[in-house]
Amino acid sequence: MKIAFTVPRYGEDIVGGAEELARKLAENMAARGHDVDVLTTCARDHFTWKNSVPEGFSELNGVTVRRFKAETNMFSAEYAEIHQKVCNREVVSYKDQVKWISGGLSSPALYGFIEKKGPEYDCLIFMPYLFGITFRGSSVYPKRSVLLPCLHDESFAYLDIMKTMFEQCRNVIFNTHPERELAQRLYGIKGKGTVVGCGFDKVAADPTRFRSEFKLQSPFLLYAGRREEGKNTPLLIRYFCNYIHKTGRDLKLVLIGSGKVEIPRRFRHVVVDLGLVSLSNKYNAYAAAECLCQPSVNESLSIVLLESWLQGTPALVHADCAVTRDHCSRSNGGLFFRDYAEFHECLDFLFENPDIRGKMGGNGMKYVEENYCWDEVINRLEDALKCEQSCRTR
Amino acid sequence: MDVLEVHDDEVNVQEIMDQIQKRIEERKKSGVYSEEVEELLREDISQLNKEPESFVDSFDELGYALQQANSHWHVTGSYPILSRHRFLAPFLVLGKRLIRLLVRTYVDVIVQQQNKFNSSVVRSLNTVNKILEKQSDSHLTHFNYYAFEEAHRKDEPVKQVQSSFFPYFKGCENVLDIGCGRGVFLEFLKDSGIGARGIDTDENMVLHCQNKGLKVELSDALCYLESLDDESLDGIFAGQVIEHLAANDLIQLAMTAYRKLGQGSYFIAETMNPQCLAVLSQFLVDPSHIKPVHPELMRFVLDLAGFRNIEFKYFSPYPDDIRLKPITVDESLPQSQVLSSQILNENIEKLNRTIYGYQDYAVIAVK
Repeated sequence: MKIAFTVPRYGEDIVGGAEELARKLAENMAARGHDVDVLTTCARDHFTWKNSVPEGFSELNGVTVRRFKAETNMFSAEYAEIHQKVCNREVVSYKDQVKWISGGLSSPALYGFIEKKGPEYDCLIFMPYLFGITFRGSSVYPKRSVLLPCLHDESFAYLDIMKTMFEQCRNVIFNTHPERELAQRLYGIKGKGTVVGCGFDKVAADPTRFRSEFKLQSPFLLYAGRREEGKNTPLLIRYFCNYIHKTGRDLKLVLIGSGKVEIPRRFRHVVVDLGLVSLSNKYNAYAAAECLCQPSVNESLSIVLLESWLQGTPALVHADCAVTRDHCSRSNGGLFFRDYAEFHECLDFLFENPDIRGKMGGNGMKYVEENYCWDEVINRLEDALKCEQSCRTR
Repeated sequence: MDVLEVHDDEVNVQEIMDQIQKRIEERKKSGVYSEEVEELLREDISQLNKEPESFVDSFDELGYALQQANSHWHVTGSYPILSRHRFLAPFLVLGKRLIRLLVRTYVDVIVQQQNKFNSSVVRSLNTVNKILEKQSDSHLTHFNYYAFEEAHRKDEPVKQVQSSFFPYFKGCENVLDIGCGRGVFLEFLKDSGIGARGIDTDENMVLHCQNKGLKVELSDALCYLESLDDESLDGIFAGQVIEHLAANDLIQLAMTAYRKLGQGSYFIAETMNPQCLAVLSQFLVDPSHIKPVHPELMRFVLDLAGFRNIEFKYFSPYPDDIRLKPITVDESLPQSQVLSSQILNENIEKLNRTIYGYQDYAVIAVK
């Protein structure tokens, strides 16, 4: 099969769940013997979409990467006005919705390439759902287009243009069942959509090395990923500081990943911000942590949760995220909190019952090994790409 | 995709969550988590974030305010003109632009004057800040001593050294631990039924000790001692403190401690041993150290204050793998060579005593 993944940013050093998922799927499809291209932009930074990588094509781990110039209208007053309305869930006309999604990130050069070369591909995969290149790109040849939305329950998902896009694509690939249920509820695409997910390879990790390198002797709770309001990082820091203040427990919160983070002065000795760490240190951190905390309520898969389970580390997730909560319930590998009281009691339970905590980590590992091995994932992806159901002519 | 679930006879997340919910309900009844728990939490955190009125915190606050002032001093009279009206938008925008054009001459004059004023104020504040920064070097404004201690001072060796001071405070009811740090010695005394309290100038240390249930206050040693009644203490311990004091403060500490101790009570100060040369490089690791204190200086200062029976104890010898190694003396060799080897070994031993001797010492004095 000749296939193309269309994704806003691409590269080994790009931080982001969807971007990482795109790279892993593309590389594993190429390893299976498919002819895989990636159509992406020259941008590395999703705050400015500044073109910082040259145009043209290159090869990365068996995948041909074609880069096109990114364009954005994000900083115009008109975009800001519509964006505000969309965030506030105000009524926005269909025309303005199109203006908004095209204004965020677009790439006319990329659309031109799809227009010209699209028919040469058996399938064009677009991901994630929130960008102009997904909306506009998938509308060029909808019969060949498969959407991999990484959908969240957020204001943007409720726009009419999303319903159009989900309906017109040949098939939709979801990361989890709750994500698929959300799409069915929002867009009524009954019978359409395949749950594929992502594969995870077990990586050898050295927890002792992590502890000695970063001088961490106390047990610690780990947060991994982008640190921002949308990921609920400030909430986690607030809850954790309060927990330490109330209990005086010998416990730290270690934060790894990109983005700025504000730590109350009196708790700078218990909240350790390591910033971006190397890939090997990320796995070492998973293995060294007593527990991983994923407070985000906007997850469509949560790669960090599954990666840390694979290192045998149990989890604590936000109960308002259907996806991570579902993972915990099905795996018996983690607990969930909705407010401070639950956060406090869950931490008390985990640290007062080390045996159960260890078993939960083991359960999580088993869950990932059984559901997210690459062979199975690629088989499911191949089936989803061949799927002709709900086809519509252009 | 059919998701394979993991079933575990011993771990059922749903059951655990039910247990947790039950526990929360019970604790709510006893008033632990009120209905407005989130609101309370916000209050707690705002309390935790509340800036104490210390020099260090005021300095941080000033830095933040200056950063804001530097970003926002420049004001402008132009901004995008928009209209939300669907049909009249082009006319409204045109009208607004016309008005702006007409008043621009007058507005620009005010904006220029405002910018001139703002820039001179911000420049002045930056200059004042620079002067303050230069003067504040000795306050170690941004140094987190708690984190530093945690990385460089392990509890176990500290416990080992401090256990030898325990007999001097046996039966005491009011011992003061000056610079109690993370409260290792205080815990020791508490577990042995000795009445003790501590003071420290680092708020993180104090918070840490209070969380452990120890009686600790945030205070400076000299101010705190002055506030006590004379002869009200029956023991004073100061572990790794005196090297943080200037000479005058050290003398004042000895004299005040003498006044506050009851007859026959002990004053013990433990510090790094400057007679061991390798320790001097260790001394430089901590930026809050002022000067190593030689045992002979301590003897002089305590003697002057009135203390008697002044004795010294030495601790923490450098381990053998760090010390210089002696050579093996082969007795079968000619006498002159055996003699040379013995002299060499004696010299190695002298060097070991001078360079790699005891890392710490304690001075023990009685009132």
